[in-house]
Amino acid sequence: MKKAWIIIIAAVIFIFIVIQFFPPAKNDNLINPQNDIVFKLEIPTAVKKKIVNACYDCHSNKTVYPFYNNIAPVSWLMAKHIRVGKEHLNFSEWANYDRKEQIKLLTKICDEITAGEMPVKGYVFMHSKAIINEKELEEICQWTEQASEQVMGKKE
Amino acid sequence: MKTMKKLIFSGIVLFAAVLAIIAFTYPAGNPSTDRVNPQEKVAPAFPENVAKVLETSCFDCHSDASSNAKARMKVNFSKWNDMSDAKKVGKMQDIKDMVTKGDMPPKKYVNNYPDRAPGQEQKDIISKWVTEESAKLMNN
Repeated sequence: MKKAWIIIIAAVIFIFIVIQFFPPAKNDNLINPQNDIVFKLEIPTAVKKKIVNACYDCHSNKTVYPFYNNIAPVSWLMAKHIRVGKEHLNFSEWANYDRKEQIKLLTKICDEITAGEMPVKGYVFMHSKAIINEKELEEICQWTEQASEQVMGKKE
Repeated sequence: MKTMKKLIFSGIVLFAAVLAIIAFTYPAGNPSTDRVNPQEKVAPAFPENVAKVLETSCFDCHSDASSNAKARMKVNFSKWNDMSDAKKVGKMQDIKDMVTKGDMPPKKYVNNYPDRAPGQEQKDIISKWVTEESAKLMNN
């Protein structure tokens, strides 16, 4: 019985070591930096700072990784979060969204933060910079409304 | 060895207990408060065919008749006309996405009320309305 445990533990350690050899690709490719939302819309400095801190790790083409990202399976989990996050909203590719999509995304930014759906709880737990307080939320929502109006006003 | 068995057994029991607790505390659906007079809840903001789809498939959660605060925060069709044109466009796009992808109405709701699930025809009505209406609003 003792032997069995040793085998199980050895197997777990072995698998852990093996998976370290399959690191996911890093999210770090700012090909067209001029497409970022910060160059396309007017954003108050405080709001800009907040969304970069609270959102850009998963919603842009550049993630600032914590040290533990180099350890599988954490690295895999993060890679998946980032991939899905960017599918929904990628601030680095803002210029590629059409106007309707931009207005939709702006509306959802305010809604999802208000509903507590974003930023993801586990992420906030590990990153205090991602905490959004009432005042910041209000500023963000004010901005999303103004920005939507700005996009509405742009005739194609 | 007996203690080992006991330990594993209690582990399983604990796990089952946690599962059971989770299962029972999972938030209930949003049983409609009243569906007696849906016409009254319709804001005149929608064309008739659109209003009918919204009434049938969305109003239970997304109208003043709903007690689901989160759903009302996301979109409240009873207060549709209180929104700016920009907000309307934003919400409409999201509605179109959700309905076409089948993310809304939620699976749970559809399972509970299969007759209120939008079919392809209803989805097309919503889609067409969103496309036309947002084009109109954006060119104002």
